Amino acid sequence: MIYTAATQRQIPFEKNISASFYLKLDELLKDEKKIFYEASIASISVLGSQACEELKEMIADCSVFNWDGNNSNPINLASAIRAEKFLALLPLNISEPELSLDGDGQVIFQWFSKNRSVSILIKAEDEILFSDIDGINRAKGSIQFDTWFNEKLSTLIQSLE
Amino acid sequence: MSTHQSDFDLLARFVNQSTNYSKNSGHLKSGGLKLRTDELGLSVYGILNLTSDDVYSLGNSLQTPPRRVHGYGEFIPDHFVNEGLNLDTTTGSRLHADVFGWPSGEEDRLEIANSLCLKSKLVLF
Repeated sequence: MIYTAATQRQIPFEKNISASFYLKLDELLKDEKKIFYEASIASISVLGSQACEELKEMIADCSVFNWDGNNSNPINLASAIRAEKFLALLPLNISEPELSLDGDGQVIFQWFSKNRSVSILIKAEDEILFSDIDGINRAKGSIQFDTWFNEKLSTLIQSLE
Repeated sequence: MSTHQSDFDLLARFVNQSTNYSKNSGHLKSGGLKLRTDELGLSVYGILNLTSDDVYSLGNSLQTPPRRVHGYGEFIPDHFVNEGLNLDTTTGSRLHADVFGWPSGEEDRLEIANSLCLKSKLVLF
């Protein structure tokens, strides 16, 4: 089990990752980052959450150039690792996010409601971009990626409910 | 008196990965609309005068390498124009159009993609 301090959420994780999955990763990871990534991938494969499943599927399905037929770059593994950490830090009382990948292979978290969409882009570097479209009102910005959930971001996400 | 309607009065952004559309909300997701940093145009296709079978055939014909197209996000030109973007219908094949005029900043691109999500209507085959 992984326990996250921010949420006290218990996340079971799967240890049996297929050999082909690792082979795919081996192609993508060529340097010392591999050791770090192998450790991280174990926690990316958490079960019990639709968003976690989506993240796993994206790593498996979007690891080659042009995975979407629109010449998009393969999933950015640094962004994926941060996305997993971000997911673990999400407050428990908000709805589950939906995930997607942009043309640069970066992970985007998104929440929809009737006239509202909040998108949070996890960059490979220690930066998060966000956009909140709420009817005619718009907000956007960038914040530092922290271990603890950023207050500004927390307020934004809590307001979704 | 009849008013001629152009194919480009209704536009489709095809999707072939389930990760880039939301069945729950009935919209495309931001990832399916946010371009690469070095990319200038978003490809869309004019579909107003096509049957649904034709749209399906068109979507599948665009897949290189061949793969199954899942559906598309439906837009009207104003959705893009109201975001400060432009539509160039003279590029590529007959029904192809490029949505261009994207800002260079990633924050701005995310905002536009996020806004376009809400305007998109997901159509699955």
